[in-house]
Amino acid sequence: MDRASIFEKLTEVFQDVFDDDSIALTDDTTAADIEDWDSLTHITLLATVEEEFGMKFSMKAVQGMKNVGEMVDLIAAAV
Amino acid sequence: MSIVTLRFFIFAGFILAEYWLCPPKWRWVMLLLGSGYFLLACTEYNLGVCAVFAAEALLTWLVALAIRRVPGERARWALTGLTVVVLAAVMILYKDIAFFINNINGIGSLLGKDLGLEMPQWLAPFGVSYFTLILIGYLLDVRWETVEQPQRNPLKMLLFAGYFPQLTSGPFSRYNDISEALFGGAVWNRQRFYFGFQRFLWGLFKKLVLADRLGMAVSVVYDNGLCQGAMVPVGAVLFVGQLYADFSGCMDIVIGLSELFGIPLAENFRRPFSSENLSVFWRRWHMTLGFWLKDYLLYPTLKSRWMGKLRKACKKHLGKKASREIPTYVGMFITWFCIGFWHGGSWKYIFGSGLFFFAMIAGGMLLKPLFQRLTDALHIDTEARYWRYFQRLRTACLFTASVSFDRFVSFQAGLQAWKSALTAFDPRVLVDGTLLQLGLDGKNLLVCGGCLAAMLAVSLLQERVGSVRAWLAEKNTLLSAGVSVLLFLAVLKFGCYGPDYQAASFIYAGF
Repeated sequence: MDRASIFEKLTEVFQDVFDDDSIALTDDTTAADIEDWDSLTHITLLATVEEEFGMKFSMKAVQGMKNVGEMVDLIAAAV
Repeated sequence: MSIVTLRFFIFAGFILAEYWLCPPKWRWVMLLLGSGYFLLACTEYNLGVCAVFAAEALLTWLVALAIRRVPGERARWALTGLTVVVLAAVMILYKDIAFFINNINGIGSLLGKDLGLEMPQWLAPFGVSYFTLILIGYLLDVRWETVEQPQRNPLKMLLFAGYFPQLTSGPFSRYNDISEALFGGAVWNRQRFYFGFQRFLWGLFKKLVLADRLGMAVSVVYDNGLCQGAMVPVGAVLFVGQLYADFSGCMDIVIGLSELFGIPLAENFRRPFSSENLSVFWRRWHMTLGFWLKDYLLYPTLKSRWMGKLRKACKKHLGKKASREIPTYVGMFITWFCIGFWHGGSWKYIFGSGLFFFAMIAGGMLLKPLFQRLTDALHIDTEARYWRYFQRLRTACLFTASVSFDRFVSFQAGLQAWKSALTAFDPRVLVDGTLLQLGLDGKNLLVCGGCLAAMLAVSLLQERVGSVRAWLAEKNTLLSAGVSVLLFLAVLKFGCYGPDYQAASFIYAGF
């Protein structure tokens, strides 16, 4: 799966989890850019991403993830 | 050995001198010796109790080294899980055994049987609530490879877990954050040393001038049967004032002391009373406990296999929205229960420092659309300053009411008192002179007011300039030195200490 396809699918997941169709993701998108993206929704988001992409994030990745770009890199490495 | 006694100051001064005179590569040994002595002195030189600490630290050290050599993922998890259970069980056994004994006896009496289980009289290892969580965090970090290279030296492991400034009331240090400064031989920095001294003084000021003074009034209210009707909220406000000055003062003392050694410790407070809701409040109050629970309990719980099954079952039977919300609420419930239980094995802590906040935060999340409609219907500008101040006041009131349960003898006593506050509120006690009979005369009230004003000024300055110490030093060196001298004199003149005075224990040291 290439990065563009991952971004496309990931954007749908974000829009679904945060119930906001206007969300547009870039590599630099962080929790500060999306209302309601706090520590609780973060883990719900990751669980949904894992389910949609059929992969697992390690706890190290969960703790250290800084932006959407890093999330996409981890997904790309796993699928 | 309390960290606000002359004995401790002499001890800390001696260790500091040894530390900085020692070659950098051996400085950690001075800290280890100092921490060993501190631990012994805090347990009345009880070697057996100190051996429990050493055994736990060495067990963690050994398992951390062995984890990556054990073949098979299941075996590695089994070893990690078993060690975490052993560490947690030792902490619970020493700290919270009363909870189980009381509840088993209570269930027995409900069934008409006198089980008569007796309370064991044993001395808990000093700082067991703190070093246990630090060790569990380290072990999980090694397992998750957040710590890339586990510590090979058992003596350094003992120092990491037992570094003496953090044993009284935290903060919870992470290996990656502290190991380099702790073992690498800190480099002397005059300004950092001076800033550390300033912060140490500021902590002493909060503890000895304000917290212990408020503590006298709190004792009068809670320990003499005065906590009824309108005095309940008064007692709660006094107690939370004492708790904040005591705990944040303790953090200033230990973080400042650690800065004197050139070792930065994590911050535990960030102006919590300027929070607009309880979620934010708890991200600013006892921050390292919050981070610990989020990373080592909440996230692993929410990512666990059984939570995945629950998520799928909810999705199948209740829909997509419920599949996201229900597991989150379950994870939050477990976390808040543990926060309460960590504070002490009693329902008053489980409710007052745990489940009440779960109910408020989860309730707020559930009712968010309703609140939104309500504020829209009432044409409330939620961005307006008055609304933000209202939210801050509401958050502070909820926190104060809930945490006041910690100060009652039991959960039932707290419930009864708050019931009387709602049903027998007589405002006359607020103006008939009762408040002047709480052990604080006019002069003492003036000192408390001055201290609170100083804390508020520092808090407001922090919001504007960040580090007040750096801002002062940059503005004017003389002004900075003047503030330090003023703090020192204020502690000497107004501090609660002396031969006839027994410094009150730090409240969080009891948790």
